[in-house]
Amino acid sequence: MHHIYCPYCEEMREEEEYSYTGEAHIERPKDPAAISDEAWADYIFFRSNPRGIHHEMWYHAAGCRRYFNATRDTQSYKVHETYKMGEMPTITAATVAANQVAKGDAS
Amino acid sequence: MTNVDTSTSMESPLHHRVAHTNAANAGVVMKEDKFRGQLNLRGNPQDAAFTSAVEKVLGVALPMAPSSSVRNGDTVVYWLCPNEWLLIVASGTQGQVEADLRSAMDGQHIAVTDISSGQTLVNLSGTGVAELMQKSTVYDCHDSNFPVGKVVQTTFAKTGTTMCKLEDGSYDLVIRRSFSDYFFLWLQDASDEYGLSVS
Amino acid sequence: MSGFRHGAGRLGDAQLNFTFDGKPMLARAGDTVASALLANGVEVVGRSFKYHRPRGVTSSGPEEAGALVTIGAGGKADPNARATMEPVTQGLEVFSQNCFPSPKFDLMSVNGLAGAILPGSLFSAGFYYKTFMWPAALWYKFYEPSIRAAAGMGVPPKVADPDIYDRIQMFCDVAVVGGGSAGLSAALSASQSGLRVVIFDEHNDLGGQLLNEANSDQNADLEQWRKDTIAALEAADNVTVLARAVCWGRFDGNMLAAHQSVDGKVRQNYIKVQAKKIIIAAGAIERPLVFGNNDKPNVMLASAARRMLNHYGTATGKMLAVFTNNDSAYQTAFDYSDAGIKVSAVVDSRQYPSEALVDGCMSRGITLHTQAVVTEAKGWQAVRSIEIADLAANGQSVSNRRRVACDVLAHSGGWTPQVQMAAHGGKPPIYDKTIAAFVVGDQAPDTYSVGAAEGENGLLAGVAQALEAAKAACAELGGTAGAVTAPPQDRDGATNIVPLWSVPAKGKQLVDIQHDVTAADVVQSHSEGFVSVEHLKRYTTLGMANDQGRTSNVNALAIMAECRGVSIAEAGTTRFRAPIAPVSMGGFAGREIGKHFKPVRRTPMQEWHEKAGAVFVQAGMYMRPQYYPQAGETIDDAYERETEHVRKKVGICDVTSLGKIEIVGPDAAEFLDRVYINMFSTLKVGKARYGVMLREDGIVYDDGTTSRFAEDRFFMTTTTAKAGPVMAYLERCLEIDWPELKVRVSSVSERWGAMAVAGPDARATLTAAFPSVDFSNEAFPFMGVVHAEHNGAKLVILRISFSGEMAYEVYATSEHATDIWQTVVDAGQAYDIVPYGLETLGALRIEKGHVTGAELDGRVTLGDVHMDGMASKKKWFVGKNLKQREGMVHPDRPQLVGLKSVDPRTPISTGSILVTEANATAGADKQGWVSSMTYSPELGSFIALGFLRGGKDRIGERIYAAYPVKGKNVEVEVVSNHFVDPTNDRVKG
Repeated sequence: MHHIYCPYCEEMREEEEYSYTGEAHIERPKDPAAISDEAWADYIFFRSNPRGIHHEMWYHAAGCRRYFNATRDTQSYKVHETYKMGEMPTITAATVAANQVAKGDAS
Repeated sequence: MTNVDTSTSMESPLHHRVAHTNAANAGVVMKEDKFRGQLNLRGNPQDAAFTSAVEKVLGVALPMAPSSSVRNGDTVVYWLCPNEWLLIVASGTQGQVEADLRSAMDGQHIAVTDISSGQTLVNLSGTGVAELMQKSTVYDCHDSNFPVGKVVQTTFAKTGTTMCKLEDGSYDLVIRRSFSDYFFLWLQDASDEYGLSVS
Repeated sequence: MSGFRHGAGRLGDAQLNFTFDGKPMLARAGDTVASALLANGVEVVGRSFKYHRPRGVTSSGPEEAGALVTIGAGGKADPNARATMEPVTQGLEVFSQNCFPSPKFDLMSVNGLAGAILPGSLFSAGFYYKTFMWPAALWYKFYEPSIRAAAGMGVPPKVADPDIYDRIQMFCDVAVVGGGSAGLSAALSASQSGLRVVIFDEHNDLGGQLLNEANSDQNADLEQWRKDTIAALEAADNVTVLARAVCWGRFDGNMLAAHQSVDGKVRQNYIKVQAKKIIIAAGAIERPLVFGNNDKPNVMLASAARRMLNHYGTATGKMLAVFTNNDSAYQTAFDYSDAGIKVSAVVDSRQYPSEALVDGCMSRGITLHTQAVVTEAKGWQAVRSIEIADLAANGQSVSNRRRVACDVLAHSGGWTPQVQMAAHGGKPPIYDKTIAAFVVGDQAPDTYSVGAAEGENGLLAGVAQALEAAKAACAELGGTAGAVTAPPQDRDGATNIVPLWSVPAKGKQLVDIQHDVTAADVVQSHSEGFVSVEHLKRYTTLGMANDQGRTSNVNALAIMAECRGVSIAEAGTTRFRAPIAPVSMGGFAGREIGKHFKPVRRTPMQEWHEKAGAVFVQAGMYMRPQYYPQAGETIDDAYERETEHVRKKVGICDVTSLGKIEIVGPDAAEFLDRVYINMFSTLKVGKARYGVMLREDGIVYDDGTTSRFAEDRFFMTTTTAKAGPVMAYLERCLEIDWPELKVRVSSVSERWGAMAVAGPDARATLTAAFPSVDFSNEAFPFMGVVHAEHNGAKLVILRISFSGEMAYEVYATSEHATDIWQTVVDAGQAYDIVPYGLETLGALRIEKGHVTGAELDGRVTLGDVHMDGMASKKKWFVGKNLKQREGMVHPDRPQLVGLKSVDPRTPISTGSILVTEANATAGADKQGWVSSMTYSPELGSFIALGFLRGGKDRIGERIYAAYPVKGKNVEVEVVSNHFVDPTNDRVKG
């Protein structure tokens, strides 16, 4: 059972209070009427589904009913961070890779 | 033709459960605070025009810290999320408060919604309450995590609640009307070993 | 009969009565079923899983693999309970398992013979795998029933469990798993920081290995330390002591799961503990040695024999022999001897035990055989002697076999640290040669494993580790762990083990006693190519039983490593998974059973319906009136009457369960234009409009009526099923997709009780009920909205119709809703108003051709339900892009049609397949399906709605609604879905 930090309630809450709502940072096209079918299909259907670091949207359903984003490792399930809508993650696949390189150099 | 007599004109969500047989030395005491006015308020907390208008009407400033509450006599304000609050006011005054808020914030992008009829306020007290909460909610209700005045929206058995801990260690729980009977049935079972009294 | 009461141990004085297979037995307070059975001289407790060999008590703890019993009878029966973990209570009923007619004489034990004569046949390694490769057709008919009859343990009760179980959520800063000397010390030290501490122990009495110690004057200070430490923990406000609580798994986010047995109203608690730091002091489990007939009753672990004597005051036999490969078992021989029980031999596979041990034997007159092994335990049902032999220096052969008399054999193959909780954290354990076992090694985050669980068997050394861990854990949480008194005596932890993985001699050598897996099975697994430890486990079912490999794992891995010629470290362990102990399902369910399994939501008028004799039906979480039967009426009579009455006069129906959402703000109209396919910005204040929402992929999502209360204020209704999802969807749109829109949404579903008043006399009824409202067609036309007040209630009245009759929906503030309902019912008396339920609601809407959840099933497009014309061409809306896809507008798509039975009294089953042949078979061309049906009093016929390929152009055709499962084939005529009032004259009248 995960204990996840809600960036609005500013505390850890049980996973049971939340629901997962898909990949984060999928921006809605500004002018959907003018968009190509391919771009629209990309927006609606295609998701990255990475192994490792993933940014995803969660909904604090039983709590404050706000949506927020989480950075989670899809392999270890570890939730690295959560952040408010509109904010950007501080931990990404790139920062994790860079960290590993740095650690490797040190040892 | 069916004709069923209903004797009262106003019914609280738990009105049909007052006939409960009270346990002696009950470890859990439930009291329904009937017909309190409840309003949902949404607005921009950064907008001074909004916050000062609300303060003028309610006589208290809106709580801004997450999970906090303020109290002023019969008026209680719960923080629900950064731009949403629950106002609990004296029974019957909700219409006036709603009108006052609307006129004080005329032209602002706010929402005041009367939800009094849709939920009820229940107080749980007694020596068995702490254990009862461990069985009923996934939130850590220990004083170190859930001090007096803190407001938390979380699960309660298979329904949800907005709850606040009071000075006397009792809990105020806001329960949705349609789930209130289920809430009571749950309470009846979950407090069986402590004894339940309904006042 | 060999065990007997001997001394007081730590038991209470109270005498308890219990029964074993109906036979009365005596016990003392504090006894476990195992200690009491032994004290009553019971040796054979049950029969084994596959070979039905006699089995007795093998241990004194959770690793018990022999004494599995059924506790309690009827619905309370708990099969496969470990006799070592079950306290005796007054009147307890205990039953043996897996034997007929009795544990001493079991007919099935012939399997043991078959296994011996035909090695590799019945129930040998890989048995299940090989069996599954036989013809599948025979599996269900023959193999499964006979295997089930022969194998399996215990019998699950067939009646409901009357006991109460609870599910409890706890939180703590420091969780301590294990209440031995290390765990107790860690918990007490951590508690002095003021942080919240939870400590678990599986046993009724805390103390761990301290309970193996003799309760003698010499140990009085040690016993006092144990008691004082426990008392201090129990007295501390910030400590929760959970005895009889097995911590069986560790999950993401430092969550520990435990089942706790309790006495009282509740039988068991399933406890989830969210911990910040976890100290694992779970101790170590003694492992058996692998020799011939090592599963025979009265062969038991040396530490268990010792605990039985010292803690439970139960001597396990009158003459004890000890077989060991390490130092720890000697103390069992010494304690038995000191207690005046004859010890006939200590058999040590090592060449040079320490001088102290040799002296200890000599001074007590115990015969010590070194460089020797037990080759076989002898005796018809339980041990009566052992065959011992000298072990060759290379360990590969034995010689000089001889008999030694004894009636209990205590053995020790070394100690296995309990690494499970640490391993669940993700790190594989590592092999430690000095103790010949796996230890945690690399700790998972927030985890400290200490004491015997980490391979440190010394008493003071283990406590020191525990205090270090408490200090570190508290420090990381900003606290300061306190100083606690160390135990007043030490116990040396060095076992000086020289591994002996199996005795090189013939005979049935059990590795996994509960699953009847032998050393030969492990070798066979290797020879058949299943050499990885994970394959070994699955091929032989080793370690899959109740004890989860606690006693068998290391021995089996070592034997496999030997076969493969690799080191034990290289062979590795299987992955540790939860649960590590058997756990009851009751705890997982907790109290969420029966009426708490699924909450029933109630509308404000629920009591009224109950008093009016309504029959209820589940509709989502609500129980809604299905119909209101009058005397002698069937469901069909009732709804046909109600339906007819609404069409001719007037009826009232509770529609509170609809979702209701207030949408407020300057951009509210724009917002609705985006989420609905049709225009709402053009809706006038005081009017309502029917709206349809699509999903992004163009499929119909939900429908409902939205009214405009003010320029910037709308009131939306949703279907009952989508009330929650639509609200979450709207919030998501505003928060994520269109944050620039100035709109706020609030759910007011619970605020309003809602009732539909429908029928030609609806207007007259409401006029009488609410005289202040003008219900005339001019003042209050179709799709009009009126606000009113009545007797303190706020009312919103919409003139909308779901039935094809003149109808209104009255929304009243919930606390007044019953009063308003009654007001309408009273006013309607003049028109014989009837309440109607979901059956009639359905009948009316089917007659009118309105769609609902049965039709809008997540596969349907606007075109399919003839609503494409509603979609605005002037604006963009959600779903617009994809609703034009080829497949979404294909003329051959199944489209909504009405269906009418050609023989009007023949019902059409919902779910029927639409075909063109009269007696369609499985291969028939399936052209559509029936989504909902009713009898229509208006048409005097059974009618239905359904979807038919290209249905729009097939009106008038005759086809068949086939329901092969029920053998039904109904001839139907395809008609328009608007059976009643197609021109809307009635609703607008």
